[in-house]
Amino acid sequence: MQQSEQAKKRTEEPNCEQLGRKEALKKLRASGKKLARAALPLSLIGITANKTFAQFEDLEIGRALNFILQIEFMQEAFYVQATGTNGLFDSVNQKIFTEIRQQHQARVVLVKNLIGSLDIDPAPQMSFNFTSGGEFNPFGSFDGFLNMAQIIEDTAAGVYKKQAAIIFQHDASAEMKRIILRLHSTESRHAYFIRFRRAERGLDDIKGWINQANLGTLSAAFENIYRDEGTTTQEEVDIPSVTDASTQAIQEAWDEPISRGTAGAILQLFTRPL
Amino acid sequence: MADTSLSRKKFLKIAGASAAALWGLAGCELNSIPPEPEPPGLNLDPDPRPNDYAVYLGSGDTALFNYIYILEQLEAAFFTRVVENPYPAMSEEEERIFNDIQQHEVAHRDFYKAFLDENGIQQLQFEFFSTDFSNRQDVLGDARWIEDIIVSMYNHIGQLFENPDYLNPIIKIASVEARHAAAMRNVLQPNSSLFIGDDIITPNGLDAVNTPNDVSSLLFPFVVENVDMSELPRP
Repeated sequence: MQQSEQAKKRTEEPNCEQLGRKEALKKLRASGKKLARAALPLSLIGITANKTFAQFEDLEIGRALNFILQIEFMQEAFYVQATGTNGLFDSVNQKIFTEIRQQHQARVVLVKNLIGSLDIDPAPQMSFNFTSGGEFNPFGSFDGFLNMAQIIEDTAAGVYKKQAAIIFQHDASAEMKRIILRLHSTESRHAYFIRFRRAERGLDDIKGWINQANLGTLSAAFENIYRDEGTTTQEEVDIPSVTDASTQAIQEAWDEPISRGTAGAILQLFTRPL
Repeated sequence: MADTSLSRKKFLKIAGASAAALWGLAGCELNSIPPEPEPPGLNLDPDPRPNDYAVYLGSGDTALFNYIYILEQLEAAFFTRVVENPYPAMSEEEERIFNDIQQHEVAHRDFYKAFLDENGIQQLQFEFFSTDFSNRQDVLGDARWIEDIIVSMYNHIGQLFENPDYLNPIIKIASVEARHAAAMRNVLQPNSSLFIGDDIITPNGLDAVNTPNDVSSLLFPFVVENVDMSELPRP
C-alpha cells in the first residue's frame, strides 16, 4: 500500500508544471460549479446544477464531434468524387479507394449518431469543390489525386488527435472515448498507405511516417499541417538526450495534433463560394 | 521487493510474539508439566506469495504507463532482433522499413523510461520463441500481429487514465503504431486493401480495441519476468 501511494504521488510530479494552467482551469470550473449550487434553492441542488454542468460538458463534446463530422464530410466527398471519375484509377486502385470511401461513408453516419446520442444536432451537410476554383487538380490524374489525398488524410489524423483531447477532457463516456480512438487509428492507416504510394511513384522523397515539417512538392497552401512535425520534445522530455534513436526517427515516431484553426482553413479552401 | 520482505518480517514478529504469549499463559497453570519441546525439524521459511518476485507496475496512471512501457520494450526488442538478424534476401525496401520501425520503437521505449523516471519498471527480457527469425513470412506475419495488437491496446487504454491530459502523449504514439501496422500489412500483400482489411477494421471504419487483460494474454507469454498487474486500473 505504502508503495502504491508513493507511486501515485510521484506520477503527478513529472507533469505538474506543465499542467499548472489546466489544473487551475479545472479548479476554476469546479469552484464555479459550487457557486452555482450555492445560489440555488435547496430542493434543486444536485438536480439542476448537475444537469447544467453535464449539458456544458456535452456541448463541448458535441462541438468537437461536429468538427470531426465536417472533416469526415470532406473525406467522404473527396473519395465519392474520385471513385466516380472515369479513368482516374486502374482496377487495383479503384478497389482500394472504393473501400476507403465506404469506410468514410459509414463513419459519417456513425459520427452523426454519436452527436445525436448527446441530444445535439449534427452539423449540416456541406458541398465541396476540391479544385478550389481551379487552383488544384485532384481528379485530373492519379498523381494529382494522391497529392490531395495525402493532405486530407494527414490532416484528418491530426484533427482527431486535437478533438479527442477535448472529448477526453470533458468527461465523455468510456464507450465514446474508445470509438474516437478507433476512428483515429484507422485514419493513420489510410494516411500511411497514401504516403507510401506517393513515395513509390517518386512524387516526393517521403515515407509512410511523417519525417519533419516536410511539405515536399505539395502546395504551400497546406504548409501549416506539418508545422509541428519537427519537434523532438514530448511531455517535457528532450528525447534526443535519452535515446540512441536518430533525430529523424524521433521526428517520425510522434504524430502531432492539428488545430481547429489550421484544419478549418483547409475546409474553407474547399467550401468557399466560387 | 523491499516492502514485501519487510511485511513478511513483521508477520514473523507478530507470530513470534503471540507464540510467546501462549507459552506465557501455559506457564501460569499450576503444577503443569511443560510439554516435550518439538525436535528441530527441517526449517521451511514462509512461502513467498506468487507476486513476491514479480515486476510490480504500481497503481493508477503509473501502472498504465508502466504497462505501456512493457509493450514498447517488447516491440523494440522484437524489431531489434529483426534488424540484427535479417532473414535471407530481405529486400532493400523491407530493410528500410524495418530499420525505421526499430528506431521508432527504441525512441518510444526510451521516452517512456524517461517520462516514468523513478516510477518506471526495469528493462525486461523477452523470448520470441514462436517466431522463426530466418523466415520472411513468419517475421512479417508476427510483426503485423504485434503492431495490430499494440494499436488495439492504445485504443482501449486511453479511457482508463484518471488524468485525461495523458491522452496527449499516447495518442501521438498510437498513430505511428497504426502506420507501422499498415506498413507490415502492405509489405505482406502490396497492391491490396489488407492495410485496412476487414479482419482489423469494422465496416464502420473502426480499428480494433483490446483490454489490457486480453493484450497481456496475447503478448506477455513473450515476457520472461512475471508481471504483477494487481493494481492496474480495470475497465
